[in-house]
Parts: sequence; C-alpha cells; structure tokens
Amino acid sequence: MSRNGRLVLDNLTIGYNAKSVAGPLNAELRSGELTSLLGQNGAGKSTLLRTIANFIKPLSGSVLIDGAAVNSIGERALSKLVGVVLTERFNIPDMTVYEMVSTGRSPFTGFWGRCLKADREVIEKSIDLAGVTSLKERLFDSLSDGERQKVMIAKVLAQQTPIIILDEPTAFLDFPSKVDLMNLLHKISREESKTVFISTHDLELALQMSDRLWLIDKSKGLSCGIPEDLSLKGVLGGFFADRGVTFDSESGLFRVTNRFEHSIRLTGHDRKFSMVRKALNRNRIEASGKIDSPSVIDCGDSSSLNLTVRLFGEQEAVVSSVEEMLEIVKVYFQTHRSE
Amino acid sequence: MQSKRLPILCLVILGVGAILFLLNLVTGTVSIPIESVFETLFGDSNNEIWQNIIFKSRLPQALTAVAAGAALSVSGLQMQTVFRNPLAGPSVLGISSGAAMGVAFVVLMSGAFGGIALSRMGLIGELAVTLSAIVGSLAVMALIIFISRKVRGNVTLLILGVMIGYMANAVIGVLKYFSAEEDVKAYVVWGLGSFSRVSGGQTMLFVSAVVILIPLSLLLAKSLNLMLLGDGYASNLGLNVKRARMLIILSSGTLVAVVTAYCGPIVFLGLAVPHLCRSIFATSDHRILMPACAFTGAALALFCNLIARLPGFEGALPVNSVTALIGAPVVASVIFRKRRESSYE
Repeated sequence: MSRNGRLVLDNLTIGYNAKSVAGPLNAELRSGELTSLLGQNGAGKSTLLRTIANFIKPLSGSVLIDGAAVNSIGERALSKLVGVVLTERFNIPDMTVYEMVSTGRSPFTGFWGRCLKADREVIEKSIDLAGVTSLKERLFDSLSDGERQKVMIAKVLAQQTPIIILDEPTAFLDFPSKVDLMNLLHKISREESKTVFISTHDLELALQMSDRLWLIDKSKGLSCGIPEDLSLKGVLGGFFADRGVTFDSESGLFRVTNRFEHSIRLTGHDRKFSMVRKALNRNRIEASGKIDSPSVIDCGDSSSLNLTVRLFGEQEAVVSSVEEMLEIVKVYFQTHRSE
Repeated sequence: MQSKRLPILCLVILGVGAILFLLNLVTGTVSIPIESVFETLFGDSNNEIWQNIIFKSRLPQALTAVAAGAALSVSGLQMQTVFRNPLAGPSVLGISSGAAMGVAFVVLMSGAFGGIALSRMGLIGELAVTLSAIVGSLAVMALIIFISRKVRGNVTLLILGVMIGYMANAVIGVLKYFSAEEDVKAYVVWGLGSFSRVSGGQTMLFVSAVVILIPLSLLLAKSLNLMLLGDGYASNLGLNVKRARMLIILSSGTLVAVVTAYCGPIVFLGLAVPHLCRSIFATSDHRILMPACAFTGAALALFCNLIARLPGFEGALPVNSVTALIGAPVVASVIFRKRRESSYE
C-alpha cells in the first residue's frame, strides 16, 4: 500500500442523521502542505473533519485516501493513515506527558500495548519535534492549554500518519501560543512532508501561514486555493462581506468594516499616516488623501510626532499625539453635524 | 520512578491480603490459635470441631470474600473507565437490580403461588436463588448490550441503565407488596449481602468462576487504556469503540452477575476500590490498575468480613453495612481531593 496520503473529496455530501450540512464537495488535499478550513459556525467545518476521520458516515459521495474510501478501510488500517487532534478536553489523572504521547503508538503495538525500543524511539522523536521535551515527565493534567495542544500534536506525530487533521487547534490559546502552534504545524507539513489539515477561526493567522485555504459556506459551497489567488480572484473579499468584515486587498488581510459618518482629507505618509487613519476610521471618519474636503489633517514628516489640524472655520492647531487630534476632531464633528 | 515503587506496593498489598486471610481463619466465635489453623489446613490436626469450623465455615467464607472483592473491584474499574464517570460502579447499569429482580421473583412468587416459602427449602432454594439472580442480571445485561449497539453516547447509555434499574426496583416493590411477610424478610436478608451464604461445593464453583473471569477481563486492558482518551481518539487509534464497549460491559456485567448471585448485592466495594487503587498506584494504566484492583478489592473484602465477624457482633453484622461504612469515607475523600485540586486552576 502506498502511503502518500493523497486525500480526495469525491462528490461528498456531509451531514448528521440524513440532514445535509454541506455538499456536494469536490477537493483534494496535498501532502507537504498546511491547509486551513475556514467558515462560519454551522457551515460544516467540524462535520467535514469528522467525516474525513470516519467518525460519521458521508450522506453521499466519498472521502478517498490513496483511492480507497475511508469508511471501507477499517479502523485499524485507517489509524495508520489519518491522525486527529480534537477539541474535546479530558482529565486523566496520573497520566504523564510521555504516557499520553505513547498512546499514539497503539495502532502499532501488540495485544497488551507494550512499547518496544523502536516505538520508544518514535515517541522521543515526536516529543522533540513538537517541542515538549521539557514537559516529558510532567502530568498531563497539570499542563496549560497551549502545552496540552502541543502534547496532543506529539501524540499524533507518534502515530506516524501521512495525514493529520486538527479541529480548531488554536482555539482557547493566547496570541503568541497561536502563532507558535501554527509555526509548528507548518514546520511539520514541510519537514515531515505530511498533509496537515486544520479548521480554524483565526483568519489572519490562516491567511499568513497556510499554504492553501478551503473556504466553506452554506450557499457558496467550497472554494479552494492558495490565499493569494483567492485574494486576487475576490473570493476572500466576498466571503465575509456581509458580516462586518472587509478584506483589505492591499495588505491581503481582513479588517473590521467601518461605516463612515464623516470624511476628512488626510495628508502624509509612513507609519504615522496609517496610525492616524486607523484612529479616524475607528471613530467612523473616513480619511485619505483623495478626499476633497476643506478640513485637513497634515501628518507632516517623520521627524516629530506633531500633527497639524486645519478644520474648516476653525483655527489651525498643532498637537503632539493622535489622542489630542481625535479630541479636537470629535468635538468639531459633534458641533457640525449638518455636514 | 514508578517502576521502583510498583513491586514494593504489590508485595505490601499481597502481604496485607495474606495476613487478613489468616486473621479471617483465626477469629470468630471460637478462637483457634494460629498454629492450630496451619495444622488443620495441612491435615495435621485431629480436632474435628476445628476442622469443621475451618473447612465448612471460615475457609469458604474467606475464599468467597476474596473472589467477590476482586471481581467487584475489577468490574467497578471497567465501568468507571468505559463511562468516564468516577461515580460509576458495578451496579450503575441496573445489572445488580436485574439480579435482585430475579431473586425477588423467585423468593416472593414461590410463596404466593407455590404455597411453599422458598426460604424453607434448603439447598434447592439456595440454588434457585442463585440461578434466578444470574438469569435476572444477564437479562438486564443483554438489554443494555442491545442498547449499547444502537446508541452512540455513553451518557445516554448510562441514563438508560439507571432507568432500567429504577424499573426493576419498581417491579420488586410491587412484588413485595403482594408477598407474605416471611418471604419479604427472606428477600431483605438476601439484599443485605453476605459472604457466608455460599456453602460447601458451591464455594468452589463460585471461586473458580471468578478465577476464570478475572483473567479474561484483564485481556481488555489495552482497550480500556484507549477508552480513557474518549471515543474520538480511541477510534482514531484503531479501536472499534462499539465492540470494545460491548465487551467491557459484558465482562463487567458477568462479574457482577456472578457475585450478586452468590453473595447478594454487595455495595460500595466496586465503587471505592478503583479510586483507592488510582491514588495508591498513581497511574491510569489499566495493565497495572486491573490486577491492583483485584488484589486490593480482595484484601478490603477480607477486612470487611473480619469486622463483620468481630467478637461481639457474632457474625450478625451485614457485610453491606461494613462495606458502606468503609467505602463511603473513601469515596468522599476522593471527591473532596478532586474538588480541591481543580480549584487550583
């Protein structure tokens, strides 16, 4: 049996109890790549992952691994092809990190589950790769969420499957831990040339660190591609357009959609310019160099933090912080509502 | 670090068990000196009274306690793991209620319809009680296994099991209401549980049943270790979860059925011993926990039997009162410890 782990969705319809959630879906996962599955709550992210892992049966169509449908492979053989990291949390008293990782060897161990020398070598290697070497002797119950997640990744590495599926691995983590984890997953996909497939709500991170995106939506179905292509084609922009999120095609990142009530001309460049614009946007004031308005904010040059505020019918003011500028501008627009 | 402690702990528990076993032979209404106990055991004694006491009463009782304690504890551990519920015990799926219902049917109905109180029928009555308990508990277990193949969630199964238990108890209540006072008393006495009810040849039958069943249940150690991780991870690691769950319930249920048939419903041992073993052995590996539970359960049952037979009580103290008196503080302290630990988070 070839162990490439080529995973194909073939006209797959997913759902629970004969109720369809999404489909028909057609797509392919590639090895050596990190693919992120994005979509709203209820779009079928978890259902898709659970179907790929063969926890639930497809309503129609099939999930193929190297040409064989996952629901016909048998759990023993499938356990050597697909490894999962789930969202469920559990407390197992008195289990060490090493023991937890060693459960990943279960598909390979014999009747009693005893780890042989070769198994122990794989376990050690997986622990090192996941970066949890220092936690080896700790009790699993005593770990933080981020540490637990990495231990579960070490466990799935010990399982030595060509495909690894993770259900929202970055949920509940603080920002640096999220970045850390995504880096780890990316590294695994490259160095071990594994197919890494995650579902996530962290748009920004997924856009920056995934090789490929799968966008799943109730009405639009599944759109796949590398983030930059999806961005250029306008798929990303359309995806969250009606939900208060705007895709900034220049930076290739998402930002909150602002509804503007006022506008003002803003001149300048560099970091100071973008910071001032961000502050004004948040206060529902549109600001750019292209706006034709008698009121102007001049950012000047980068030698000082000074800002020059020239509001129509008011005296020119020079302030040294964005906060002071905002105060003046907000008061001005409150008294000039008619504009 | 654990591997160094393990052999010592095993020796300690075996030693304590052996001492308790001997104490069970020594103490009682008639006190027999320990040398004479050994002499009698090895056939070097001519004292017929002592021979009678030891071979007809104390030895069968001690062996019954060992077998029942071991079987109930292993069964409880299996239930707690498969349902991932620290309060699950051997009785949780209504299997012992099923046994009770079987016994209630035979004990209470025979008086009402047959005209003869079963409690007066001696050996045949005893056999009828044992058989009816086995039939009752196996019937409930078959029902549970049938359901376990249909439902996915463990909690659903647990609730259904508890419901079946309630229904069995309701049936028992109705039967009691329509029965003669004498039969009700016989049933109540059965419900108190006892290690001394099993007599003569039946002891060997009971003990050998347990001796066969416990090693069989040890074969499920790897499945149980995987079940700890939850259904999702277990199935991802190549375990057929539904089949494993069915086998574990089958193993655990059979152990409970056999013990309940011979000793009546013994409470608390099956719930308390797994907790005790987890805290003593500080592991969640069932390859260690299962034999540990068997030995600790045997030792604890011997201890309970010893207390029930202390001079002064004259064997009148029901085993269930003793197991609950010892078991309840154990369970309470474990839960208290758990709560305190989780509040650190």
